[in-house]
Parts: sequence; structure tokens; C-alpha cells
Amino acid sequence: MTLLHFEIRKMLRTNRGAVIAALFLAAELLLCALTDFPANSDAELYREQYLHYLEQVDGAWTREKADYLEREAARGADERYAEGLDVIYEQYRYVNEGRENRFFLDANGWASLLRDRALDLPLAAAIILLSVPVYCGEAASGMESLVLTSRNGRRLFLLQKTALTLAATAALSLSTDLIRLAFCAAKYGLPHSDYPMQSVEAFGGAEKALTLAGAEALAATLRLLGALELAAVTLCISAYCRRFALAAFLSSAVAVLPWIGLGQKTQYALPLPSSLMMPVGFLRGSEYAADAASGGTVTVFREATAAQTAAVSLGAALVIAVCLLLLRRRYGGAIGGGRGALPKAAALGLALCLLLGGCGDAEPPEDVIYNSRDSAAYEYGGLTVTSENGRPVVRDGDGNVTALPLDPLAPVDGAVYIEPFFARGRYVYFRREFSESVGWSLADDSGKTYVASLLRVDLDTFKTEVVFETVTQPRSSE
Amino acid sequence: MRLFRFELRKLFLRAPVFAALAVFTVLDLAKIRAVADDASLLRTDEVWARVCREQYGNYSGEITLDKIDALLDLYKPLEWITNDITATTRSDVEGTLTGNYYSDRNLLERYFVSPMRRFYNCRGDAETVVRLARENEALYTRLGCSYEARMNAAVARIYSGRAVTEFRYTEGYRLLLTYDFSAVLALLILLYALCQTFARDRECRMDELMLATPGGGSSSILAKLAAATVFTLAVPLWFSTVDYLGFGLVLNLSEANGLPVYAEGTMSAASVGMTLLGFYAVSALTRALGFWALGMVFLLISEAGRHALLPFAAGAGVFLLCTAAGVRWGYSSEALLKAANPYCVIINRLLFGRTEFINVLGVPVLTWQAAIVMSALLGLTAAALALFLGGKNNIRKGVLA
Repeated sequence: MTLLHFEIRKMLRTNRGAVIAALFLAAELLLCALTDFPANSDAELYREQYLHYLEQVDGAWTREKADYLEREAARGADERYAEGLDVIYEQYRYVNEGRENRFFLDANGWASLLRDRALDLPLAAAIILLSVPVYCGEAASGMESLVLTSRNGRRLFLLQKTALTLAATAALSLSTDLIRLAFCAAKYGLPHSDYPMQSVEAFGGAEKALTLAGAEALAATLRLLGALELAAVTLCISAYCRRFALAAFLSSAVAVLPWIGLGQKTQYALPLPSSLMMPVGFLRGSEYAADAASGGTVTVFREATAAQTAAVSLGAALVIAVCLLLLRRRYGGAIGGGRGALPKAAALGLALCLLLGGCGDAEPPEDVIYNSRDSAAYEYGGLTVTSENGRPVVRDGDGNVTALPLDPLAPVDGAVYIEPFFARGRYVYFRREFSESVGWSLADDSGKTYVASLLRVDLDTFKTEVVFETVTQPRSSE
Repeated sequence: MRLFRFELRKLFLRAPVFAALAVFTVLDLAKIRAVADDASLLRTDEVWARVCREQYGNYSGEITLDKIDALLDLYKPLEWITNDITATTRSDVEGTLTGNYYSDRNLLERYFVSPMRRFYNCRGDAETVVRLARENEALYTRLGCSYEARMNAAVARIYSGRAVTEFRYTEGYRLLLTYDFSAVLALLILLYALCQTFARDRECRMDELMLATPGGGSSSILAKLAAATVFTLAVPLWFSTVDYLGFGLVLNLSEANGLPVYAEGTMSAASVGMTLLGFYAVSALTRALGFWALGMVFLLISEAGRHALLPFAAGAGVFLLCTAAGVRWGYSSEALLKAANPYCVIINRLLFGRTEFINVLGVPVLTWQAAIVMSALLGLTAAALALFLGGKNNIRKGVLA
């Protein structure tokens, strides 16, 4: 067996690299499956009807297509395709705003693939877990000093260890892209990769002239660069710190703190591993918000120009180069065998449940008997439910009047009850919405969180319970 | 006691820990500054800051009808001419506060009208809550639902007598109470320090040696647990103090120290009624308790690892799981899932800021009370397990002491 074989075996078996990689892949797949949602849910829901229209207008904007859609909208679609017409007309209005680079396209696949996500924590964790034991393991087992005296304990080992770690990192990063590509292609399809990326609504304001495939290729390249940078920095830290705890602590801080601590504006101007590992930020267009002081607009996010992206990439490459030079300086080209550390990779599995999407599976009532918009009153066991000022009011035979819901806190907690309400059997159903102006997230706490609940009041006991609930988080808090 | 001091020095009072604390404190202060610059226009706009200072003198202090009338006299005409966008957008208009009508309107709305409205409405809203709760209590008593009746009685008790009588500047507290960055910093330091509690001994084979000494075994584990307790309580409390001082430096906190906590907009449905300063102290202590419970879990994990890497990764994983669960259920009506999550005890404004109950054998218990009890239980269980599962030596204890 050659030395390289030993190194590979050490990484995959002794340091549990194989387990880490397997857990990482599982985590990525689970993340895709759990957190993915269609950007345009109507297009997904009424897919057939939507495709019926899309077939006629697919591609760039033309006068004929616009006339056709206007005509269809004015005429009113026939029953079978009504929902599809709504979807395509929405898209038409979007395309109309930027005719030269917004194309008609079934964009859900690309939108999902190029979604602005949170930092890929499984990837960062896998890189740190793979890189920390490479040098810390040698230092901890005392093998380091032994190897320095051996014939091959020179440049060759440093080279092999570093190259191997970087190669593994590259493989992890690229497999993330492949998993996402495969997932989106299977779930939505990724048609027309040669259309401009502005065809996807999230990039509508971007100035860059990139095709969809080009955007994905650029994103993958930047992510790869970020992953390599994190690995190089981690290797360098672990070579100098020599202790597992300190190395893991420092590299986690490098990976996570800029992402949480820095605002969107500064993040993409610096060659940080975390910003490169969230490459969609380099593709997005500028965003604006109203300014309270002047009544005008302020820039919330400034689009990264091609030059800025290039400068950041160059900076990252420079960081990698400096780390490698420092590694060489540290060991003078000497490091070798040893038992290495045993990072119990099972820990990574815990990161896998990072984001738990989805919602409860309680069923809303199937055949509602009473709808407050359609009928005046609902009778149940001597009780009469009517709608007064948008709230259901219950009257019994003795003249007792009870306004529902029995929520004493409504004046202070900002809950809003929304018409219509429904009744079936002994239950009255309502919708309630909360919006919290302060995000629940540890990251940028901007934006609002919406909680929509379906409540059920039992008319026998007036007990209220929540039967279904969804929580919508602001984008930055994923 | 000697063992305890020794473990404390060995594990936590070390140069890397202090260096990390110092660097993270600086990072924390920088982030506080950035948050304040981002959210408060008084920090970025000199004109606004000057006008607010001038106007604040007119309205601060006890809320009287005269002050409200004066404020509305100033605000209503502005609202009138800016709503239909007929006012000029020039920025050098005579007779305005900031030089521009829209800017004036926004300033008054943001810093005076809307807080004043909130403060003023507080009493009426609370009275409505009490009235509704009493009605519900009567109804549920009649229908024989004793738990619902008790819950409404509790709501009426909590909300009776609520009122805000003074107008104060609360923006600083809003930012302070929703600031979470320091929790991540504290977490990283705790993870770093705690994950080596047992792994360090193991790395240098000290653990085998210790089993052969009278001070080893469970008494040394006990000393480790005690040292870790002191450390896990001290670090979050340190950061909470830094947060308070940091926000106090960049924005004025002291003005609102004495206001009741429900005067702050995000806490309007709070289930506690203490002052804002008092609440911040309680919140900081609760956060420290949450960190202590998590810390004991980290220690338990640390006992299983040969090196510090596994405890570090597993600890981070545990925290991420708690975070994911907190993000998923923090806002929902699943009160139990909220209260049982250490993350929600650390970021505790949704526990204190909502009036929600958990049904414990027919008795309504507020979520924050249940959460504190459950965190304490979690920490104690983890500590007991760490003690129980740790290495035992069969030398009689107390010989050395």
C-alpha cells in the first residue's frame, strides 16, 4: 500500500470520513425534501391547465403572444382552463415589465434550484468535521513529533493530507449541487436552460446577463470556492491550535458568525466562506425599501456587480493561498502517520434535522354545512349562530348571547379573525391570523412572521382548540 | 471545595477562554452598534435626533389629555396633507420640524403618536381583557368546564389594573429585548469550554489516573459539574450585562427603565407585569438557566467522547435541533412544545410575551413557569446522569478532606 492509500484510509475509516459523508448526503437530501416548496404554488396546483397556455407562448415576449393572452383574458377562459389562465396571465404581467430578458417559462424548477437559502449547515459541519482531525489528530496522539524525523514525514505528507482534504471538500460541495439539480429536475423539471435568468421572478431586478444554466454554474463555482476556503482555513487553524476543541470552536465561529452577524449589504462585499457558500446572493438584483426619514427609497440590498464577484472570488483564492503557505510554514513540510482522532460522525446526524418544514396534518372539515357568507344563520341543538360585525354570535333559547371566539386576549395580542366562518355538526370553525413584527430568528430579525390558525369551537362546551396551523417565517430566518 | 476551585481553574479560567470572551464581547458591541444604526433613525439622521430631543421634552412624563391634544394638533394636519400626497416634497419648508412634511409626519408617527396611542390604550385594552375573561369564566362555570373557567380567571387576575401612565422613549428596549446575537456568542463559548470537560482528561489519560485517587471518581465529577454550573451561568449573564450596557450606550435605555413591560409593543400581551428593567433581569436569569440546562446536556455528551470534536459537534447539533424546533413551534399554539424547548427558554420573549397556559392536571400554568421548571429538571437529570454514568472509584470518599 502506498502512503496515499494510508492517508485515504485514515480519512475515510479512522477519522470516520465515510460516515460523515454518508450522513451529509442524507442530510442534504432530507433538507431538500423537507424544506422545498414551489415558488409559484398555483402553477404547480393547476399544472395541466397552466401548461396548456404555456405551450402557446413559451419563450421570449412577442406582440402576437401578448395579443393572444390579452384576448384570452378578455374572452374569459373556458371552465377547464380557468385557473391556468390566471397563472399565465400573472406571468405575462411579469414578463411585460422587462420584455427583452424575461421569458415565458415553467420556472418553478429553476426558482427552487436558485432559491436564496440559509447557510448550508450540513456542508459547513461536514467540512469542519473532516478537516479538524487531519492535523489535530496527529498532534493529539503525539505522532506529529515522531513523523517529523521520518524519511517521508516531509513535504509529501503535508501535500497529501492537504490535497486529500481539499479534494474531499470539493466532492462534498459538488455533490450538494448534484443533489439539488437532481431533486429539482425530478420534482419540477428544469426546462430551457438557455433562457435568461431574469425569467425567474427572484432575479427580475438583476442586471447581469446570464442564462439559467450560467447562473447555476456560477453559483456552483462560488459555492465550491467557499467550501474550499472554509476547509483551508479550518486546516490552518487546526494545524496551529493542535487541540480539537479550540480548532472546532474557531472554525465554527469563522463559518457561522459572519452569516449571523453581518448584514446583507456587507456580507457579499467580503471574501467570507459563509457568503460564498450562499452564492445566490451574488446573483440577486438590488432591493429597495421605503425610507421613513425622507419619504424616498433606500437600498436594502445592492446587486453584486461582476467586478465585485470577481474581487470576492479573488480574495477567497488569496485566503486559500495564504492558508496553504501558513500550513507549509507550520510544518516545514513534515507530518505523517498516526492513529488520528475519532470524530464520532454520528453527531452530524443531529444537524440533519436543522429545518423541519411542513405543518400539521389535521384535516379541515370536508362538507361544510354552514358558511357565514352564504347563509344567514346556523342552528344547532337550540343554539342559533349568526354573523354580526364579522364575528359569530351564539344565542340560546333563554336569551343568552355569546360572541365567539371566547378569546379574552384579542385586544392585546393583535389576533385578527377572518370571515367567513364555517359550522358543521357541533363545531364552529374560524380562521385567526397573527403577525409578529419581530422575527423569531437568530439571524437578521427583520420582516414579519405570520401565524395562520384554524380554530374550532365546540358549541356544547364552548371549548376552543387549534386544529390546523401554519407559520410563515420571513426569508432571512430560515 | 479545593477540587472545585482546581477544576474551575483547569477548565474555564484559561487564556483561550478569556481571549474568546474578550473578542466576542467586542464583536457583540459592534453588532449592537450595527443593529442600532440599522433600526433607529435617531442614530443615523441628525435632524431627526435633534427634533426628537426637542419634542421629547414636551411630551415625556405623565400622560395628560393636554399633551395628547397638543400632539394631535401637530400631527393631524400633517396626516391630512400627506395622505393624499398633495403636500410639497421640498425639504426646506418653513414652519416644519425637519423641513419636509412627509418626514415630519413619519417622525411624529414613529416616535410620538404611535407610542402615545399604545400607552394610552393600554388601560382600556386591559380592562376589556378583564371584562371578557370574567364573562368567559361565568359562561364556562355555567357549562361546567372548570379548566377553561380557571384559565379565564387567571387571565383576569393577570390583566387587572394594567395601565401605562407615563410617556417614555422605548425604542432602545424594543431592540434590546429582540436582540439575540449574543446568545450565539455565549453558546459558542460554552460549547468550546464544556466539550473538553471530560475529553481533556481522556486525551492525556488523566481519567485512568484519577480513578486511583481519593479525589477522583464521583467527587471529581461533582467538582466538574459545580465548576461548569458556575461557568454556564456566568457567561450568559456577562453577555446580558454587555448587551444592556451596549444598548444603553448607543440608545437611551434609562428613560424607560421604570415603565411596565407591557408598554413595549412586542410585549403587549405579556403575562408578567414588572418594570422593563426588572423584566430584563428576569429574562437574563431565565436565559442563563436555559444555557445551564443545555450545558449539562453538553457535559453528558462530553463524557462519551474520546476527543473534544464529538462533544462539540453533538452539542452544536443538539442546539440546532432545539433551534429548528423553536422556529417551528415558537409561534404556534403548541404551548407544551414551546415550554419544553431550552431554545425558547434562552430566547424567552415568546414565553413571557404571551399569556398562554399549559394544562397541568386541570390547573392552568403559565408557559414561562412551566418552562423554567422543565429546564431545571432537564439540567438536573443530565447532571445526575453524568454523575451516575461517570467513572466510579472504590476508594472511600472523604479520606483526603
